[in-house]
Amino acid sequence: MDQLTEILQRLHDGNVEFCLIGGLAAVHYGSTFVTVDIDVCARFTRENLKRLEATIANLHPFHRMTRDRRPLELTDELMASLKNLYLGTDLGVLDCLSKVAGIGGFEEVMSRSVLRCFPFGQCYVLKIEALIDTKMAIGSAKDKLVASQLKAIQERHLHQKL
Amino acid sequence: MIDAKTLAQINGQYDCPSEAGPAWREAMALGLDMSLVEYNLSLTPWERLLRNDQAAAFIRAAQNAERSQYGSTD
Repeated sequence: MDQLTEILQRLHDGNVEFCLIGGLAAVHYGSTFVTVDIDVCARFTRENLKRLEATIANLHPFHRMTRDRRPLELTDELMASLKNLYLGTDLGVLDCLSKVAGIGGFEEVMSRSVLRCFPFGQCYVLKIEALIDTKMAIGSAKDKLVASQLKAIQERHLHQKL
Repeated sequence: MIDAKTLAQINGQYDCPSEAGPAWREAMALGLDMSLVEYNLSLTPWERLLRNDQAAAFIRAAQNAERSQYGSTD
């Protein structure tokens, strides 16, 4: 059962420092492209990564890009060389990035994010204009289509504010 | 009596809002169904995320059903 919203809530409740990016952020703004994973940009410090590990520990997380589905076990040695975490969990896929294409690292991402309210609390979400930038930077056919939708949605929001 | 424009809409023709800007029209020209975007915009952001959850769960269930019938493609 995919419950990406529950993963989002767990990250929030676990005090993980993160920002929602990618397809789910696009859905949040109104994109119609369904996504089966949740992408976040997280601060890749030891403390934050351990919080992340703890908050999803009972979801049987594993490194989804490894053929043997290696369980998530964050050692100091591993954390020192981590740039990304591509995880499978009982609730769906969770990809954690330390850098975002077209934007930069966690601090740059946060500077282009906005706090949004959800039923469980507030989370940072990448601003729509930054999301468009990263979709264009990635440049796949699908990402360009999502960017086109987001531009149309952004335009409508701007028009409604006039 | 239903006028031709309304009948076309009933039959699925998208009536682009007159105030639509260039980005909206460009997305339309790319073939994106902007009526669905309009529908999404009528929802709250949280409702959009929940609908995505439902769609993602359906996709996963379909993939699992296919895998159980035809085997893994890995």
